[in-house]
Amino acid sequence: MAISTKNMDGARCIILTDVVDIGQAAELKQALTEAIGSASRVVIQISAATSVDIMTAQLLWAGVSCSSHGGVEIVVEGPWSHQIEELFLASGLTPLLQEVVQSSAGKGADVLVSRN
Amino acid sequence: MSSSAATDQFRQAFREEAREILVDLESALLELGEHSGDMELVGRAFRALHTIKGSGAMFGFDALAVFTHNLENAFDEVRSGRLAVTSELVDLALAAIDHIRNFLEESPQDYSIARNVLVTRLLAMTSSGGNVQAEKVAPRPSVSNHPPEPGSPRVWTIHFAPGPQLMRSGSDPLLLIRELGDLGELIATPSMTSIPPLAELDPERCYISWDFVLRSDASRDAIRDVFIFVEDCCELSIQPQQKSVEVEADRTAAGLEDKRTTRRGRRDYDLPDGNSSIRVAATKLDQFVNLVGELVTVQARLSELAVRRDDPDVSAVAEEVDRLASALRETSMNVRMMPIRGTFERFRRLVHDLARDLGKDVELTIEGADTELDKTVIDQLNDPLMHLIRNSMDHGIGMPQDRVAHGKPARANIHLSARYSGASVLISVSDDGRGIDAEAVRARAVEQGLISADAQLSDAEIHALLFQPGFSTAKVVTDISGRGVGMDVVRRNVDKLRGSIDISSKTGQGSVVTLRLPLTLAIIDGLLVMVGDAYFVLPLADTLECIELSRAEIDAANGKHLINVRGKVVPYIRLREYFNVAATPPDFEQVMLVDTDDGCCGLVFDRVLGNCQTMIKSLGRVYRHVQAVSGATILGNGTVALILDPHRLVHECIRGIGLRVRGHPSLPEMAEPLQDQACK
Repeated sequence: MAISTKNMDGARCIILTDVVDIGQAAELKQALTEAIGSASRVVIQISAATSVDIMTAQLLWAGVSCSSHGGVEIVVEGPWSHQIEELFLASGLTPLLQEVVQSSAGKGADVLVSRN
Repeated sequence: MSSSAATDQFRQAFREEAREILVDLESALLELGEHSGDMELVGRAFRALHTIKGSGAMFGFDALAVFTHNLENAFDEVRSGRLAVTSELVDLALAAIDHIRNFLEESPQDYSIARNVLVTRLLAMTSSGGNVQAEKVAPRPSVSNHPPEPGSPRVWTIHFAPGPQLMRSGSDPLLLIRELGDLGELIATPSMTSIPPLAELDPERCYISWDFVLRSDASRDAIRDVFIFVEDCCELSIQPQQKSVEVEADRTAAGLEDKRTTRRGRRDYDLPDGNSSIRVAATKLDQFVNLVGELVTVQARLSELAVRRDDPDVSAVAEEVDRLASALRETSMNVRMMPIRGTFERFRRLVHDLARDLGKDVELTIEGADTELDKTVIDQLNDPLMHLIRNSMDHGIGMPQDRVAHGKPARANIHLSARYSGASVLISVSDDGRGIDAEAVRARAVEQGLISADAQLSDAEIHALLFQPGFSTAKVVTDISGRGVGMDVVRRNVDKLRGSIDISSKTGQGSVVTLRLPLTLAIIDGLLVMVGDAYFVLPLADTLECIELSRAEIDAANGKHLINVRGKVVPYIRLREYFNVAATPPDFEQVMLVDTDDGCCGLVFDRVLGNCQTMIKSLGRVYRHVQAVSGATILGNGTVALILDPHRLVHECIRGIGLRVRGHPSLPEMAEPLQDQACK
């Protein structure tokens, strides 16, 4: 299962595993929407994802933007894979992912994503 | 040159240029701290960041580009009025500059944690819903000023906006972009503005669009082929870039202008295209000036030969060579001259940081920043000025409440100034602090055994104690000062530059430390004079006028070295006596009046031989304590002339420290090292 969720220390945790692409986009959106609506802290673990597509990045961006208005804290936990990083670098999206991560961290997150 | 060597060269050039831009950026930020509403300063900071980011990405400094992007975003928000300039933003930006500097090092330190914290704080300041601009793909340099030739790489601008159906067709824009990157050097700028709120987002539609700059020898068709399977479900335009072959991420004209000017690498990186310049390694410049110096020496020999031969043809050639050598010398020296602005501006940051650390309120004002000095002199000024400013900040300037209690404004002032004075430049560091406590200095000197308890010292002599190694009046050693090292460093560096230091201070009002430094250490215009059979060169810029001194006048003065110049009594120094030249003086000696820090004074010699251009050669470490002589030069006839430093000569005589008293070497001894060269 590419997307799974669990409760962890009072936070809602979304775990991305293996390949996450358009096939899981609707599921990811739903998971994000539910998590943001039900918890004050959402943790997205991407360290187990081997590949993500543009939809994932887009959803993360929208999720963080949404949460910033609702007072929900979103933390993206890494590290992300080299393949993901390369793809994002080629598309000029590295700062986007960094910004998603850092925006989350800026709201009091205790986890900063390592880019190794 | 191999492509790897070229890449290294470009990267190195970028490093140097970026460092210069950072100095200007730092200065703009510090000024912004004082004038937060100055949009011109905001624009200056933004442009500098944008230039560093864009160029950094182009030359493979990916991490630098990404990091700088965050700071640039913040200033973009300031520019658009969404973010206010606060002291917190200025401090963050200054800290970010330190990180950017670290990125520019050959082997950057790993400050990733501190950097992440910094970025987090920056992002927390800025609105997170903005448009993300990111760039960079293939970190390969691409610099050319020539129009593209057939078959050579061209620059393409490409706009790509995936349509609603693109993702459903099984295509992933990221993979297309990677394929596009395989065609050449690619810089991608995504636009995020169309992404709707999460609730309204269609999870199977890509809302992000891209603008690319691609430098590639691929044809339009080859580029189009990348998008062949999605062309029907996307917006796509592929245009050759007309104006520039530089890869530049930003489509705006400002961005392109930044790129062109970055290559120029000077503070005035918004100069119009007509003011082009090139960057040359300092070592090459030194070599060039050395060769010109040798040419000047050879030219002197040629002139000497022409006089001896008395041949009109040889004389004509000698005159022509003289004219050309003179012009070449002038040009080469101008090339080495640099405004001191860059050095001065660096200290804004020092003052800012020290003021913060010490809890003081200090403003740095700068005057004469356009004063030009030889690059060698400027390079060696940094440390002395730093120590002087640190001393002023730590010892001279009091806490705001103490200043107010003494009727002074809470905000203290440190003033850095530079101005010309003959062949020298005067650089002053002044403050409006407490001034030097002469009694404390004296007491400390007695305590350290430097002077006896009953020694009678003038203010100048007391101030001179401050330059003794290890001397400090500070009761507490801090990380800023107090170890007694700083002023010693100042003296040593200024000595190395053949300069001098003057201190004036008034208790409760402040201090002024003035460094007198030669404009250049290489070649000067001089006046060649003789005493007996010894040659001396006087720097022309220090001379005022030449008058005669008769035997009768010498006798009438009853042994005092004074001469009446149009009703004014002027002291003089007989070089014959000072340098112990044994030859019999002529009936009429010559007095050259020179303008020095200690007033007008005459230097007496036998006769004037004429103007000369002189390449200054060092006398070496053995004679570095001979204050009155700044160097030596080889004349056309192969003999050696000593180049006098009138300021030091007069100063030494006034202080009563004569050459013979200090046991200085004789003239032949001093000339010996160069005489060897002349013979060769």
